[in-house]
Formats: sequence, structure tokens, C-alpha cells
Amino acid sequence: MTVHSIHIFNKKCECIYFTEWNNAKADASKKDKLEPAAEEREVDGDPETAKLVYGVVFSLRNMASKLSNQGFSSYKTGTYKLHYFESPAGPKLVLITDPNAPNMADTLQSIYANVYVEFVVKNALVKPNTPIHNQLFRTTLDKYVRNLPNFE
Amino acid sequence: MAETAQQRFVCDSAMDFLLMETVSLMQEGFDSIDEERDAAYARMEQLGHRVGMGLAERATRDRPRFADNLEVVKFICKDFWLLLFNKQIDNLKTNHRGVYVLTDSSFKWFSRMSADVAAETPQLALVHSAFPCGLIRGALSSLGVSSSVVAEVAAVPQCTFQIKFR
Repeated sequence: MTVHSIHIFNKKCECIYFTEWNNAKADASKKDKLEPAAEEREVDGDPETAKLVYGVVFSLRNMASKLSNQGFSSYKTGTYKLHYFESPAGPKLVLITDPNAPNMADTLQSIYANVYVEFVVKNALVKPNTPIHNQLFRTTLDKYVRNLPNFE
Repeated sequence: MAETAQQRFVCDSAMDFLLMETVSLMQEGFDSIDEERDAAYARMEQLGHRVGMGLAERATRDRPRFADNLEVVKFICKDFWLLLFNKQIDNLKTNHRGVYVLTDSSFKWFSRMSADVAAETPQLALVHSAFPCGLIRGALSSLGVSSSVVAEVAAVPQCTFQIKFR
């Protein structure tokens, strides 16, 4: 199972963080993948994709809430699986993995609690709801995702 | 008064966030002008002074008087820091002529700080050290010692406080 990318959206529907790991389409060598900071696109470098992702998630969430009580948590296509986590306070996490991934709701929840809250919310040098650039968050998130049992 | 771990957690978090916000409030509008930046620093330090005074009085309610300056500094390093951050100062150095250097290797309020460019973090963290400096100075002054306290941040989360007795 590979984790492809993660988006974080704030309450105002802006994408405040985006990273991708194993880009399945790229032929990049292993060395490139070890340095996501070098290959990761700028937060605002791909606004179109971010908007599309947010749009999909938003529509699916509304549809699911009308159909049942539970709410939308993930969907699977032939080439990828998208996981969604919405925290009570506002930020939404969207994780894209390969189609065989297990349920990542717990992972997303712990990313939120242990990485986002710790290094963004509690960071005195960061204004809330602005794009996240800080080093500590990036390295912790990267380490966390790479240590997931099925990451490869 | 007994408190549950959860209550303590909520109080600690509220305190941390309040301090973060106070610092940014003090900094608003002071970005480019050096004097006003110093003014912001001085205000935070005064705030810390007042808080430190009160806190030291409460903490030493049942204790006898301190024998000398070294005892006072040791109180700051142990009991006072324990009260505030649940840990003690990691390192105390002195030149026995009235200068003491306190080093906290993982200062609680700096432990989650990180800037966009990692190298800038110490500089940005310096403003946040005004309040703790004031805390120490206030505690010392309520225990009868007049001093000046300066902080140095070499690398977060480590913080060094230099106390000079007058």
C-alpha cells in the first residue's frame, strides 16, 4: 500500500498544506523520494487540483449526509482511494492512497491530533489558517507517514 | 487544591494559548520600528514581572526566609520552575560574583515552535522570552533581590536566562 498525497484544507476552503510521496506516475529514483521537501510542490503550486479535490469532497459529504446519518469517510476507484477526515474544529484532511489501503480513519485522526495540533495549532510562530510552511510540521508528518505499517 | 489531570491539561493549554496571543498582540503594528519593538518587549516583561511577584509570594507562603542569594536562585531553579512547568531548570552556572546562568534544555513554551525557515526560529522566539524573563525578575524582586534578567535562545527548544544581581 502506498500513500500518494495529503491535502489539508482550512475552514475557509483553502488548501493550507499539500505533499505527495510516491508519485506512482513518476519514474523518479529512490533518492528523490527520500527528500519530499525538494520534490514537493509549493502549497499554492497546484491550486486547480486542490480545488477539484475540495469540490469532490464537499459534494460527496453533502450527498452522504442526506442519504444517511453517518457521513462520508472514503471512496475507492480503480486507481486510487481517497480518505477524508473532518475535525470538529474545522480543518479537513484528505489522504489519497492506492486502492488496496485499509481504513485510514484512525490514521487521519492521529495525524490531526499528534501532528497538526501539536506543531501547527500550538506553534506560537504560526498564524492560524495560513498556509503551513514550518519545518517541524513537515518533518514530523513525513516521518509519521513513512512509519505507517504499510507505507512503501 | 486537588485537580484532575484533565483540569490541569485544560488550564495549561489555556495559559499557553493566552501567552501566544498576548505576544502577537504586543507585536501588532510594531514590525518595522525598532523602538516600538523594544517597547513591546518591555511591556511583556513588565507583565511577567507582576505575575512573577504574585506567584513567588504564593509559592513561598510556608517557607522560612532565604539565607542568601544563592538560595533564592536555587528556589527559582527548583520550586518555582516546578510550579510553572512541572520540571526543574536543567543547568545552573554562576561566577560567584552575582551572575547566574540558568539553562532550560526544553523550555515548555518553545517546544512546539518552528518557523518556515528553520534557521530563523531562535530570532523569532526571542520575543516570546520576554514574559519568562519578567517572571524570574518579578519572583526575585518579591523575594528581596533586585536584578536584571536577559534571555538567549541559541536553538529552540533550549533557552538560557542570565541573571545579574544589582
